[in-house]
Amino acid sequence: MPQGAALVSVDRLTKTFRLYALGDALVRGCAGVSFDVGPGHCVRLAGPSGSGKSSVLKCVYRTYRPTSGTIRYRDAAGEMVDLGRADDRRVLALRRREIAYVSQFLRVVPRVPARDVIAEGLWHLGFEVEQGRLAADAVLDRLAIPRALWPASPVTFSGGEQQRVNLARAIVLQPRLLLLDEPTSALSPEAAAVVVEMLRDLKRAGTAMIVAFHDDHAVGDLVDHVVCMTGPAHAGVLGGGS
Amino acid sequence: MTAGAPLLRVDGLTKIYGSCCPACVALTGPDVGTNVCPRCRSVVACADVSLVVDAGEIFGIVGESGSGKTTVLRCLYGDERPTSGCARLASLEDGRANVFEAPPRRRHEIRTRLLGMVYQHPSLGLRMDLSSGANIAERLLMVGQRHFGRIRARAQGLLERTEVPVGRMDEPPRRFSGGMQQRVQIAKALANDPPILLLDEVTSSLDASVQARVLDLIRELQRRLGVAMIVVSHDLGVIRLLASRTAVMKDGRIVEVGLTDQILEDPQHEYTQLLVGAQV
Amino acid sequence: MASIREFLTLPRDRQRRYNFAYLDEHSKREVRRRLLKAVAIPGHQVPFASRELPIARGWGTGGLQITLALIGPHDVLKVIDQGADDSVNAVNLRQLIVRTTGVRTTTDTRHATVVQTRHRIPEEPMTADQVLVLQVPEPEPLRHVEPSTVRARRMHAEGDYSAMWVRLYEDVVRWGEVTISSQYPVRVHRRYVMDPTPIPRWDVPRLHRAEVLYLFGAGREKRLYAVPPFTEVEPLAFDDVPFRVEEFGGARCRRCGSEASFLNASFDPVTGARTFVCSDTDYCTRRMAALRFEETAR
Repeated sequence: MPQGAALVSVDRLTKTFRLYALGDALVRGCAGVSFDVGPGHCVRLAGPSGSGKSSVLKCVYRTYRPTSGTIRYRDAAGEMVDLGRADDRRVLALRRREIAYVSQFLRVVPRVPARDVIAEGLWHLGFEVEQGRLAADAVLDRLAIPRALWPASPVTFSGGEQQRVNLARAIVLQPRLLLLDEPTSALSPEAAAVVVEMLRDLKRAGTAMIVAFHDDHAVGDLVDHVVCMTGPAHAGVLGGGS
Repeated sequence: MTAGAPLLRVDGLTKIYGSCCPACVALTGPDVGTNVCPRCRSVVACADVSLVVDAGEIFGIVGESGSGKTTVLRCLYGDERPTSGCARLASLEDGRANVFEAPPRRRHEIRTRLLGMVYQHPSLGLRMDLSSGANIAERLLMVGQRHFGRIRARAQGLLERTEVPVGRMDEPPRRFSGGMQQRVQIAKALANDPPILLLDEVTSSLDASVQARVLDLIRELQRRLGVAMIVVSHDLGVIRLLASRTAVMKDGRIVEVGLTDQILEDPQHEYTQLLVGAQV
Repeated sequence: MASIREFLTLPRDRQRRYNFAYLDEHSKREVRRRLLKAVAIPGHQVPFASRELPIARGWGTGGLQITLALIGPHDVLKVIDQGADDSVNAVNLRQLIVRTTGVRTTTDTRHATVVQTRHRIPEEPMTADQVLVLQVPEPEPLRHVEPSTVRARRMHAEGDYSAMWVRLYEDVVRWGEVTISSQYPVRVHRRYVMDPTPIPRWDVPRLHRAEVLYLFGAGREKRLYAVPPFTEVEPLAFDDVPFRVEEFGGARCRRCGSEASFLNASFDPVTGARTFVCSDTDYCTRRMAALRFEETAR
């Protein structure tokens, strides 16, 4: 894909952790990863667990600070920003409006009803309280979460239900870039199919996606490009300390 | 997309207790492992603290006792006068005036209208001899409100919002549980709709279950009112729950500042790693 | 000089060896200069070097020093205590002033140029040619809400009277209105909060935009303050809980029949029934005289 059209351009992304407690041991998260993602494009990170897929996603989301390499992102205003080096406040603003991340498991905040967990992101964007809740309801409905559960806190949900709430939270924002870490591994095939359908809709609307799947799924046609994270440059402890 | 002008900008905040010599700052800090200047025995409670808080954001400061985090809040609120440094509020002369050098009338206005403070111990922020309604009324009276009915209604509204039973608004907070006293403090701090709220270890002296409810309340209030906050805590769980960005302090200095999830999952500084590793 | 009694036992010529109005000229100058400052800053308490007098502290020495500093040989003096010219304290003070000045005295408020008073303002509206000197027991209005003088002074300096307002709020919560009956705090010239001395609420509105100059002296506490003519003086009150004066339930003065003056309650010695009499004896006496005149005229 031509450089200019990419929404995200990852170039030789490397993440190495320096652990002081282990005598300055260096642990590699990922190394030399490069790929581009365009609008409405879906890139899959493939590889066994430990191969650095999560690290790449977290580097793009800036949960990890990349050690080297660049992650060039074109924001809604057309400005290019290197996510790895951008100012914290800039990244926060992007997370609020444009970039969403779906982790493997939902981190539950007690006492907050599922509807509000999902609507929160919309409220931060300026939606009215009720507007946000209605949008959340629509997504919950689509994801087949029983209506009775909507005002309840996800604390009591099953793993699959929690994960669907997690996804809903990101999907409802209609982000420009969506990062997903094993989004369907905890779901039944039916639920997974619904999710894929929703992702397909987002794709059509122009959302770019980077998805980590460690195993081939029936997501085949969702994915446009696969990045294999199995090379020797990826993962593993490098050395130093003991 | 730029982040825009911040609500609060602090630069080089330094507070030294004691006689103070030119070497104080250089001879103390996390690298040396002490707050006390070996030459003149002054205590460098905090030095060169700089931070930025945006409107509606929750900024966390985490550190152990002696790290200087409470000193930062006390200097911002005006309970202490800093040795040097500068703090600018967007609502004060468009961010041009230094809060620390404001004349007394101005400082009073800042303390009553632009900042709210919630202390770890309710007795520091509340007048235990007055009713809880009167505590809130005091803040409203300080900014010149003179209509009894409206003052009382607003006090009632704030207590409702902080989930304090309105039927108890005429009782002194002395008779309340710790959690409820903190709620009254929060209601009081919010009385004049300040753009920034300062919270100093507000749940540290509460039982775990009570703590959870007060934290939920704080989150809820922040979401509903859009008030910015600086949350000081030694508890990473509190920070994770509330703050979007966090600074880590040790021996009076900020050793690391970043997005909260980054601080927790990819701590860069040795001390941050220690802190994160020590708390599950 | 230990007491007035001793002073009065001196032979007249020895009495006259005191300076005019007892105080030496330096002392008078001190008081006058402080009074100028007090007038320039309405309601603000000005410290002054309070002198020893042949009257004990707590008996009106502050007011007395003001009168002695201001009075001239052509002034006409009236001294009242709780509205009465003939109470022991009023008589004592009047005698000392007269013995050391020789000025004329009167009980008629309209004819006096200087009126010294304890705990009441005369019913008769006073004019721009007169001065009312009030005796102050406790000059600091914030003493009940802030025991620390240092903090109280800061509150005055910053104009932050919220501690006082909170006290008023609690009163309204508990009783439906402010229950302060005397020494009702007032705000002078929209700046300082002042204690108007233990005058009843009835008299407080008389301070507002008056023609007369009000001077306040606390001898024991060593403070002077002033309310210049036409100054705004507002009792502290909430917008929706207005200040109100005492009511006497339709009672009248049993001597002159007045319904429009401040009344003292007492009991009829014979019947034991509750009766009311005007507190301001001059006002009452003049009304009675006027009524008698009307009657005889018929």
